[in-house]
This record gives sequence, structure tokens and C-alpha cells, in this order.
Amino acid sequence: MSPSSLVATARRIAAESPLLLVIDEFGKNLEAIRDGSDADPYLLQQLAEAGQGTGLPIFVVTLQHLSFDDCLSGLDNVQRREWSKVQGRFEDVSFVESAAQARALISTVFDVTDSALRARIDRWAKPLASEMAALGVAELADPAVVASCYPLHPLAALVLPELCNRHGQHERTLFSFLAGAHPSGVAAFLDSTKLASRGPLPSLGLEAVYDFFVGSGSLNIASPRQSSRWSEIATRLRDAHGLSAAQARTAKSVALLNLVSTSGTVRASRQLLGLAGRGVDAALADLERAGLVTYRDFADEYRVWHGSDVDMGVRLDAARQRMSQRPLVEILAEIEQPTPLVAARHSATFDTLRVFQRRYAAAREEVAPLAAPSAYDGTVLLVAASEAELPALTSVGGHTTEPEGPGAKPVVAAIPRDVAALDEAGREVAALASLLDDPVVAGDRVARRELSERLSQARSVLDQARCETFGSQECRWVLLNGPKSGERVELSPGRGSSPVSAAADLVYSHTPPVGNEMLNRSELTSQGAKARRLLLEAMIERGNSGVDDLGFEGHGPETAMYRSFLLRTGLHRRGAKPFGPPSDAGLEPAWSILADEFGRSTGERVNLAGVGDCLQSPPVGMKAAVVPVFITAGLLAFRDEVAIYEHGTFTPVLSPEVSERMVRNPAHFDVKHFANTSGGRLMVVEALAERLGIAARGGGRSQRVSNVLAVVSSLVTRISRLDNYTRRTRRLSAGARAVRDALTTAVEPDQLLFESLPEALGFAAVGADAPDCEPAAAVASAVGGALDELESCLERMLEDLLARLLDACGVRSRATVSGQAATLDGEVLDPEVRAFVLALANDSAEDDRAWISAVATVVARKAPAEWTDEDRGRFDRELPERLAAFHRLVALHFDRRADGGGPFDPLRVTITRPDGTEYIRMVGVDARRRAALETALDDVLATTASITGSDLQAEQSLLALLSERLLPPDEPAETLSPAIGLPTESDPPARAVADGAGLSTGRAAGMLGRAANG
Amino acid sequence: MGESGAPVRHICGISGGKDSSALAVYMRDRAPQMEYFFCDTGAELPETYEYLTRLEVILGRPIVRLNATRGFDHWFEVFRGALPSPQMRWCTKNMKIKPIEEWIGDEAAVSYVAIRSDESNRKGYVSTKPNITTRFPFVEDGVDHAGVLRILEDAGIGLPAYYEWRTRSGCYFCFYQRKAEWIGLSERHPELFDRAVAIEQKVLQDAGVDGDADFGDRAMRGRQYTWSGGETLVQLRNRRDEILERHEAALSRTTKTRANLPLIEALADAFNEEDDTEPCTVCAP
Ligand code: SF4
Repeated sequence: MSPSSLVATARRIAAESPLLLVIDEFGKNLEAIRDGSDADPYLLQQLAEAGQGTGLPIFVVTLQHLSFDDCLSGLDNVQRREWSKVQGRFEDVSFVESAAQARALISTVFDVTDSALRARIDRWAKPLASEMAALGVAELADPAVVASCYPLHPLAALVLPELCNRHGQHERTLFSFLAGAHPSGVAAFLDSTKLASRGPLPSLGLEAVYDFFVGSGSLNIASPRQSSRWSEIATRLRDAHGLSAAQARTAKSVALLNLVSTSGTVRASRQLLGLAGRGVDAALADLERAGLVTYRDFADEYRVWHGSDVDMGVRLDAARQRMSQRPLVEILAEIEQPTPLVAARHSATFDTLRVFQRRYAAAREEVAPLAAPSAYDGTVLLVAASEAELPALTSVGGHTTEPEGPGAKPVVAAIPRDVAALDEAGREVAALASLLDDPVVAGDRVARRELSERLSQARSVLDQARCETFGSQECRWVLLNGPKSGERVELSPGRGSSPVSAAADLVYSHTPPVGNEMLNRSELTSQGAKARRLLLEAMIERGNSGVDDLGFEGHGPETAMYRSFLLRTGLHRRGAKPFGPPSDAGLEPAWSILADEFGRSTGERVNLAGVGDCLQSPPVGMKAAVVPVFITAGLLAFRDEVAIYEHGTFTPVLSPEVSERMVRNPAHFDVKHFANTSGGRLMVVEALAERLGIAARGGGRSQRVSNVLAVVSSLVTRISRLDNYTRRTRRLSAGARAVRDALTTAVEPDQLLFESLPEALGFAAVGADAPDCEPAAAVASAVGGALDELESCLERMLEDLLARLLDACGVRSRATVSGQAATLDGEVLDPEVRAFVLALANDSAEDDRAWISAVATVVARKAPAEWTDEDRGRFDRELPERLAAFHRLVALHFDRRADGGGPFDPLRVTITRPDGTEYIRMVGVDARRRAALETALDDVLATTASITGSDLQAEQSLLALLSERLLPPDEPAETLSPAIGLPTESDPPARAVADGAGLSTGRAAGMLGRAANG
Repeated sequence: MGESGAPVRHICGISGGKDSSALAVYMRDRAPQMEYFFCDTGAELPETYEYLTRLEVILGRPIVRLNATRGFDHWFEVFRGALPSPQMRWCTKNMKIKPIEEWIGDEAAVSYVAIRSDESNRKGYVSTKPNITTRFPFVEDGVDHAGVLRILEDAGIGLPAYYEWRTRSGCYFCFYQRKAEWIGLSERHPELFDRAVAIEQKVLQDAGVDGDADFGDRAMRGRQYTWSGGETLVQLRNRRDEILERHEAALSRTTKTRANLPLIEALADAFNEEDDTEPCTVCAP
């Protein structure tokens, strides 16, 4: 059965007749939690609340052996907090059985029918009873009582109730000892003991109790505080070997008494132990010598564990003395922080958990209410002074807001009639606690342990005293800052949280109906945080789409949040304006706060953290986790009027990522309201909307946009899509440049629209109160023209580059160039030329634009979209030269093919004239004729050498002559056809100077060498 | 076709470094349906952004920018100022791995990873998602370091400009940067260096000046306060000469021991002398 159907069932039953739910053994559930299961306290809370608010008679009672706190010791703080909220909806009724009741119970177990035995028991009981009386144990001074407990020795009867209370599960443990089948239990004793007809009656003493409870470990040690002492004692005795029967019996008696008590009558005193049987004195002496027990003189007590010489009594008196000097409130504040209090009834009625922080306060203390973002909804001041000392509680600082607006969080003072019990308990705790810091105690393990035990007892007394002091009908409860004007309001007293609920009713009168427990919190669980993130994202991205449940599928927590908080309340609906004022009247006060805050931001920016504070303050008191969802709904509703700024910068679109940051740090965000414009400004806005084709966001197509933000957002978005070249280039009309600069530097939307843009285009700024703006249409068309120019800038450059390239090649389409380049496929070795050729050959390019982009990228080593004007200049300079190299290669390739395609090894020859002009030529030798040609050359060289006188001279002279012949007749290099060009500046060829004309050879820029080399 | 009948996607991640760029080019003609992607941290070097556009043009296909809207600045705000570090690498997780896995979704996909045939020990980012098969074309086809350089030259895009002073792509403030690379950043992009300084200062301030106990207890555990080990960036910059001297020495050692090394390799070796921890496999190289 799911939790919600369980609750529904409970409600149905209760509608018929009152329902009492009793959960026995609830401690087991709490244990499961402590042991790490992920049990959720929420079901219990829902059950507890099922009746509240609806008036249905549903009562939930849980039974457990230990208090909630003891059960949950060992949980982490978050879990504890969760659980203490749940606990806050219940009232603790503690059941502590008195020792006398327990003994009465014991006496009912044994039934003696034999009258002779009866008489023997009575005789046995008499001296024992008087010894108990001598010891000061009044409860067992009556022989009849002692007799009724037989076969228990009165000492056993003395310690049993206490033992069971402190360490076990009360009478259940008791009964398992008395009647269970355990070998050291009473039943076993009765079975195995033969009763002699005369002589002393055998009885079950402390030893047996020890064996049952400690030795066998059958006791369930609930509280960790106790268990270490148990185990220490048990270990010490277990490890003490070779004890005689009397020694063992005595040691166990001491041990058991130690466990039960450490002071008062019931302690391991010499006298009391004397009752345990004969030979005790000798045994004690032996044990002491063996170091197993120690005798503490001052306390007249034997101890199984190490004794301490610290005189606690003296120190404690001194500490008490010190504490008595200090003001009570100071003491209390120092020793405890009362747990926060849930305003249970109010929380259930409004379906919103309200938790009040509690702290002690002095009379006349100046108290400031909690700040709005605090996770607590208010403060409870536990005034640690009785009313008699309190003629008037002083005014409370911090209540400074206007009566209409959001108010301060409530401060409730509880002024008790009588603080005597609290005073005493508090000072005792403080005195004990102060001893823990005493170096003598701190250095003594035993004393420390004893002290902490006493401290924990004193603390529970304090708890009790606090509950009684402030829960009394006599205690006065006053709301110090009432909802009207901070007036005082007397609240009716009561136990638990009822006065606080009454205060919350008054103060949080406009608690918004959120309807979703997972969302309606001050702090989300991780699952809740995820759901809220999805919800916010869907609101932003799909809020306008009209899909059901914002497009959520299934019944995830985000769907539940959407349905209960947005859909049900009417914050979101279908239609042209999907976000808007809620239809649920309960949410109206919150909405009007939001609308007011946004409205207030016409003049100046308003910080979103501040808006959140207003919502979290009374009378709305929206829970912190709900605030971002609500504000986002508001921002979406007012998206065309309210501008968002992050770190002061205008943010044109509320995107999911902006929202994520907003949730995290609302203080980084401001809003500003752009009220509907009128007059001249309205004319400008309308003209721009028309010229730029801007429709209302989220609205129908026909809706006219008359607000600044829609126009500015559209402009800014368009500008932000521009490529870097367009952002940087100066090759634009002055108007386009000015518009670009205005748009990229704009900070304020209205300034941009009515001042910088018109001014950038040579128009006058349009003042806020200008009745009209005659050139509005002209401004709009100029802005539109500039935008068009900007957006087509890159495209136009690419077209220009393509035209240049085709022009330089003298062709009309890139296909021709690609085709030429493709013929060189795989034959070009020089990396730079090769890349260029490959780019030209690229026929997979989708269109001219892609093709020229790639070519331009290869030439400039940078994509055109990233160019600067310098890059473009460089391209213009380098392109002709690259093309020249390309065409030479094509020509060479063509020649070679025409020639029959023999492999050859080309060289590039550059010849420089004395005037600096250069001429380049690709030359090559067909490998098939190489040998013959070389022989011919050798012959010519030999002949020439005979003329010049040396081989070197011969070579140089021939080279010079050949070069001259290669030169075209007196034509300057610059005007040569594309097949011939200048070498690049960056790659100056090495030169050999011969006879005034420079000439160099080198590996050709493009080498058709594969065939030859390979 | 995948088992479901949906077409199998072919994807190739680009880091902004040479190997993955070369792989992208290499696959251009081999897998025309290839989807290229790049995880944008919003904090890449300007050289990287410029190089990506170059690559995009050469590929003739768009390179999908993942994570384009939630960059480093976003997460830094959301995490309230915790610096990423090798121990707490929220950067890679949030800005790269998660967006990639989200983008791939549950469809069957073949992911091409740029491990070269001469790097046997590098892992690369291999997704653990069952719907993704990984292939290593360079290993399969024996493309090594020289092969990569040749691919890039042929394509006419060459190397990203940052290789002059830094061996890896990635965020300008990447904590895997070596000290000499930080100095390089301070000289090539002083404005980015200053931004890294500002981020670091903010974290230090949050941690120290107004660090309340709770914050200190929880959030600061295992947390990095400075970008570069053992010192703030300001201190690091003040040691500029010392760091560069050491770097020069390392550089000349490598060039001496291994003759005729291309500069790019010598640089890498010299940096490795300082610290050769394997950087983020998603981010580099
Ligand atoms: S490059 Fe460095 S800083 Fe950036 S995401 Fe990768 S590991 Fe993190």
C-alpha cells in the first residue's frame, strides 16, 4: 500500500468513526533508521497530520521503550532534524514504572502453597527485613514484602527494578528473568534446587542476577552510554581467573551494585555487601589485594573498575557555588540549545511546515527577529525569569517594515510563572558540566565517566523541568510583533506547540498553497532539487508550447510539483499568455508582492534576493525552495516588461542555465521594469518591431509588440550571432559600423533604443517624454538596413573572394578550376602548394561558399569568419602568386602528358635582372633522354672550357647565356601572365650571382616528382 | 544499421589538439556521415577557437559545439567557487563527459578516437556506455606522429597556434598546465592569465577571509585553492625567470639527447620533465 493510499484509507475510516492507530514496538522502526535503512519519516508525519486540519478524529500512538532521542542517537544531524520535526507533531508521554510497582509485580509471580514452607520463608524474611531497615532501605523493611519476593534475596529484589529500568526493556526483561527458560533464570533455579528440610533457605542473590543479566549478555543494552560500562565490568570479571566461589560471588555482587547505582543507599557499601552471605569480608580483602575491586573511602563503596580519588562531592559543591552567582539565562544558554519547535497544528492546517527556533532569553533583552532567508519561521524566547521579575518585556528591535509590506518574522516570548525547577536543574547541569573541564577530572577516566553519567541524568531532569515550566498553563505566551503594527498579542498557553501555532496563524495569514511536500521546504532533498531543476527548465523551454504537464511524462516528482503548484493554482495555463496571475486566491497575496516588486523596479533595478526575502517574510512566508519557481513564473509572465541583469549585465533571454545560476545566487541578479512606452518612444519601438518583423514572444503572430525588451532582445540576439570577421572589420558602411558598435557596447535597453541607436545613425535621441518621433520610420529602416548589411557581410566577402579567384583564373565557374586541380591529384610534393591544390580540387564542397571558404582558409591559414582586415589584405596579396604556381604546375603537367608522359625531375629557375626584376621558369629533363643529353652537355662544356680556360668558367658562362635566352624580350615581370610570377617574400630563393644578372635554382615549388622518384 | 534498425551514428570528438583534428580530416572522406563534436568549456584558448573554425571549413561540415551554454563560468558560479583539480575534476565531468553522453544518448554509435599508432600506452576517452563502439583508425592504419602532421599539412590547416608555447589544448587555466606553460599564458594572453588569477583569488578569499566553519568543514574538504601546485599564480609569475631558465635547460637537454627533433616534440619532452602526469583524456591532446 502506498503511503498516500494509507493516509486516504485512514481518512475514510475516520470519517465513519474515530480511528486510533497504535504502533507497538515503534522502537524497531527507529532502530532500522539508525542502522542505515532509508526509512522516510514522512509517512508517520502524514499519518499524524491526517486528522489535523480536517477535523477528522485520527489519533496515532506509538510505543517504544526508549525516548525518541535515545533511539536516534547515532544518526547524523540531517536525519535527526527530519525526525525531530516529526516528533514535534507528537506529544511525549513517558512511562516510568516505580520500583515499588515492579516489586509488587515480582511478588505476584511466586505462589507458595505449602504452609510449612510458607512459615520457613516468613522466618527467613524477618532478620533480612530488619537488616534492610538498618541499611535504610525502607521499601524492603517489611518482612511480608521480603517474603513475598522469595526465592529472591532482598538484595536481588532491591536491584532488579532499577536494573531493568535502566538497562532493559522494563518488565519484559524482568519477566524473562523470573519466568523464562534461561539457565541462570529463576525457573531454572527452582527446578534444580533441592530444598533441605532444615537449615538456611537457599535464595537467589545478586550473583544470579549478575549471571543472568551481565554474564550471559541477555540484556539488551539500549543506550551506548551504558554499554561501555557494562562491557568493561563484564570483561574484567570474565578475565579474572581462579576466583574462589565466595570471591566470585562477592565480585559479582559488587559489579552488579556498581551498575545499578553509584551513590545513595543502594551502593556496594561494606554493610550492604555483608548481607550477601558469609565470608564476604574476607573475599573483599582478597579481591582488593588482587586489584579486582577497589574501595573508595570517601564514598564507602567498592568498585570493580578502577577507583578514582577525585572527591567529586567537594568539587561539585564548589561548582554549584560558582553557578549560583551567575544569571540563569546565561547558564541555560551555555548548557543547552533547545530543539526547534514545529508549529504542529498550523503546519498541518496550512500544509506548510513552520519551525520555530527556540532559545533562552533574559527579561528585557533586545531581540531582533530572524532575517527573511533564515530556515526558521520564527523565534521562541524561553524567558528564564518568572513573571514577577518581568514588569514588561522590552521592545523588540528590527521591526522596521511598513505596515502594508512584508513584515518581520515572528518572535514569541514564553514567560513562566515559576522558574524554580528550571533554575535548579539548569544550575546543576552547569555545575556538572563545568567539572568536565576541571583538569583533575579530565585526567581521571573514572571520575570523568561518573561525571558524564551524572550529567546525563541531570540533563534529563532539566528536560523535564523545561517541559513543565513552559508547558504549564501558568506560563504566559506573548507574540511580540503582531501582524498589524508590531503590537503585542497574548496567546493562550498550552503544552507542546499550540501557542506557537496560534502565533503562526496570526502572522503567516497568507501562507501560499503549494500542495507539494517535496517542494514546500526550506531545503530540498537531492531528489527534490533535481525535480525542481527539471521543472524550471521545462517552464522556460516548454512553458509556451501548450503541451500537457510541460511535456513531463509519467508521475515523477517534477510532474507532481508542476500539477500541484503551477497547474492547480492557475499560475500556468493554456493560452496566449501561459504564465500569469494565479486563479487560486490563496496565492494572490504572494503574486501581488511579486508584481509590486517588479513594478517598483521601473526607476531602479531591484535585486532578486530582495524579492525572495519579501516572499519569505510574513504574511506570505513562502518556503525558500518554492521561491525560485514562483519568481521564475513571474519573470516568464512579465518577460516582455521585466529585464534581467546578471552581475549588472543585461541578459536578453532567461535560459535554463541562467536559471540554474539564479537559483544558486539570486543576489547576482537584478530586474528592471520597462513600463509601456508612449509618445515618441512608442513610435520608435513600433517602427522597429515592424521593420525587423518582431512578434510578441509567446503571443500570437498578429499581436503587436510595443515594448522595449522584445525589440532589444531580438537586436542583441541577432548581433550575438555575427561572426568575428563582421565584428571586427572596418569594411562596412559608417552606419553599419556605428550600429554594430552601439549594439555591442549597449548596457541599458532603453538607452540603446532611444539614444545610442538613433544617434549612431545621425538622428536625435528620443526623450522619455517626447510626444512623438517624426523620423521613427527612418530610424527603423536605417537600423534594419545596417543589420542586413552586417548579417550579409561575411557572405559578401566570400562572394568577392570567389569572384577574384575566378577572375584571376579567367574562368567562370569553380568547376573548371577544380577540374584542373584534380588532374594534379597526388603529384604535388611541396606541402604548401599541395594543400592549396587539394583545396582547389575539393569537389565535395557543398557550394561555392564552402569551396571558397576552404581555399581562403588554406591561403590565409585562418578561416574567413575569423579574419581581420589584415588577413584579408594578405589573402589578396598572396592569391595571385599561389595561383601562378598552380598554373605553372598545370601547364607543366599538361606538357608532360602531351609529351608522352615520361617521368622527369623539374627545377624552378629564377633569373634576376640587374634592375631587380625576376623571371621564373620551370624546367625539366625527361628521364628517358637524360643519358644522351648529359653526354651532349659534357661535350659542349669541354668545348667551352677550351674557350674560357676553366671548367667553372665554362659552366657559368653557359648558364648566363642560357638564362638570357630564357628571358622574354624586355618585358617587366609584374605584367607577366598568370603562369609566371614573383617568388614570395617569405621564401626568398638562394641566389648565385653571375655576371651582373642573378640566377638561382632550387627545388621547384611544386614538384611533379613522384614518378621520377618512385 | 543498429539492432533496433536505427542507423548507427559515427562520431568523432575534436579536442582542439593536433591528433584529433588530424583524425577528423582523415575521416572526412572515409566516413561522409561523420558527426564531429567539440566540448566547449567557454574557456578554451583563442587559438583553439580560431583553429576550430579553420577545421570546420576544411571539413566542410559543422563541428557541433556541445555544452555551449554551460561553460566554466557557469559551473564555477553554481559550485560556489570550488576550483577543479586532478582530485576533483568537476570540469571534465560536467563540461565534457556528461554533455557527450547526453548528446550520444542511447542510440548505437561508433566513436572514433585519435590514438596514434606510436602511442601504445595512452588511453584516450573511451566511453563505458554499452551502445558505443570505439575505433582507433590511426592505430588500425598505422598513422604515427609524422602521419598526423602530414595530414594537417595536406589539409592546409597546419597546427593550432598555441603549440608554439603549450603542448595541450584545453582550458586556458587548465590545472594540468606546467609552470612554464603558465608563464607562456601570461605572456601570450595576459588578459586570460589575469582572469585565472582573479578566479584563484576569489577561491582563496572565500576559503580564508570569510570562510565560516560550516563551509570549511564540508565544502572545502579535499579542495584545491590554487591552480598550480604549491603557489598562487601571482607567486608563480614572480618566479618567471627561474621557471623559464629551467624550461630552457630541459629543452636543450632533450634536443641534445635526441637529435633532429621537430620543435613540437622537443617542447613536449621538455614539459614532461617537469610533470608527465597523464592529463585529462577527454581534453587532450
Ligand atoms: S582542459 Fe583541464 S581544466 Fe579544462 S576541462 Fe579539461 S581538465 Fe578541466
